[in-house]
Amino acid sequence: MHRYSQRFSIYRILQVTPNTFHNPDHDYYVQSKGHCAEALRSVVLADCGYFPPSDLDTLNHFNSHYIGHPTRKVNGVEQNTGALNGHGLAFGVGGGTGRQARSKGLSGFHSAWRRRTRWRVPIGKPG
Amino acid sequence: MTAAHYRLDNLVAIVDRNGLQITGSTEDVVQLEPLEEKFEAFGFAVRRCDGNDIADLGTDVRGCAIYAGETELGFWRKTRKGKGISFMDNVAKWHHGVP
Repeated sequence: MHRYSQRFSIYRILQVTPNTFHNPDHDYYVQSKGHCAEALRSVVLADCGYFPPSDLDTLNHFNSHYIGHPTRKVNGVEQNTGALNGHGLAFGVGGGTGRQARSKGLSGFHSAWRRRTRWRVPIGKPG
Repeated sequence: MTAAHYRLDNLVAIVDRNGLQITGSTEDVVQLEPLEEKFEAFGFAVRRCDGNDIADLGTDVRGCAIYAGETELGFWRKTRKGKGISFMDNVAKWHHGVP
């Protein structure tokens, strides 16, 4: 574990682990360029321990969550991205604004990053 | 615009400036330059680093925490797509290709 993520990725400095990922106040990484999903999942997320590396064997299989773009069905992925045009920046601005509002004691600004169902199986419905 | 308006100091935008998009050079399709000045015009504090050296990026990120009191932080990564791989290096079709 951490053989590659700590050497080659932004995760070497992010304050987030698989254990803190579902808490609201960790560092968020949103990847605009969805075509790099394989690198994000294999080099980073599997290496960090967000899911078993064997899940990657289902890549591009029918009904697999491991498709050609990042999707929140994969543990560790913050947002579905890949529409290009840097739309991860818009997600980041929304999340940053929400965190800023929470730090001022305002409520109702956390929906942008709210966790949905936790998916634990590589193919099919939530486990 | 929104980030600058709210003076977000918790946002870092990393621009992987590899110069390619799916159909070729970004400067041939729709010119982006001068991109650094454009980010600055939108309120980013732009810093450059070697995007092909993740250690250099890490140093810059940590260093930029010093400037967290400013509007927001942006990074300007100069990279080469597919660097070090002979048949992929700076070739546009590998934007979306699978070996």
